[in-house]
Amino acid sequence: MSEPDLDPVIHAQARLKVVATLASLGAGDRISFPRLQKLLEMTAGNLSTHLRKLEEAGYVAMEKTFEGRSPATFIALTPRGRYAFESYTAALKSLLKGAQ
Amino acid sequence: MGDGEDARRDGEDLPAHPAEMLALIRSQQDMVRTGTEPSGALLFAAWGVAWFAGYLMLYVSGTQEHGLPAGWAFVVFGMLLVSAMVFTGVHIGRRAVGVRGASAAAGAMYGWSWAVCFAVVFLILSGVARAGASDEVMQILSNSMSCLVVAALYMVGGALWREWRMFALGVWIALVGGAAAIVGPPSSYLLMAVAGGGGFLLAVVSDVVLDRRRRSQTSATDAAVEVAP
Repeated sequence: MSEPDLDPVIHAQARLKVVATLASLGAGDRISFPRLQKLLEMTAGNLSTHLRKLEEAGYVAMEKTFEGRSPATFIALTPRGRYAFESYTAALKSLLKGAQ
Repeated sequence: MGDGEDARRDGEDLPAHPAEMLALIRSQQDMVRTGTEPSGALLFAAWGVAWFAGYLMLYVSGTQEHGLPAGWAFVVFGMLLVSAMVFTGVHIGRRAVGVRGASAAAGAMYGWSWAVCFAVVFLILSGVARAGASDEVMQILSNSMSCLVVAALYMVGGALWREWRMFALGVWIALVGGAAAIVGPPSSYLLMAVAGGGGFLLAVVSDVVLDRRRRSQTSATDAAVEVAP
């Protein structure tokens, strides 16, 4: 498998899972940090680190808001992030075809 | 440590084969969908049981006395419907927690449609009762108007989430509700229990069967992919 074909931002188990999770929500949907953490079974620190990398690449958008009086963060995949995820899975599928 | 080196180290924790990586993506996405989307099978089961048991009780009670079910039968029927309603609310609330945006807004508008429509059904029934409608008219009207609301909102829900089974269930409930109005009580309650409640339960069975078939198909393709190289 030729790794350079695969987007290095997504090409890590934790970030691939984050992006796959966000991509399975509807377009225009965002999810709270604690719920995302629960779906991914990751520690808060670990998830923050990966989200920061994805945000730097422009793949996710983080929105800080308030739920009542307590601060809350909502995370969404950007159109660019969705495109990157689709390209990544398409690249995997073409690698798979090449291998057969 | 440079970014490139970092990325390479990150990539090492991934399975080496693209088929395994695709399977990883699919299993994560399946898990997220089951975790965040309401289960049609569970909701249909709750309403199927409530309708079947509730309407059957109205029928049995209605045939014993002179065509009008006893007060207790209506109370139990109401309690069964309220339980199914509470179950639906709690289930959807738990699945949707922490998710905002377009689908949450659509879901909230859809939820309010139910509340508004049934509030108006209640107002119409109160008005008709005050105008002197007989018990039989009240029974026919309350059942057929409720069926009409349920049917229309199921069809809309089917269109909204592209769930053909939900749409088909809406069409079926409309037909059963219309037929029940023609048949009249107490036989209409037997029709509602068997065809209405049974319709929900049939939807549960088809949901479970299709889901099982889909799962076995994806695991079969995964296995084929692993054997091939």
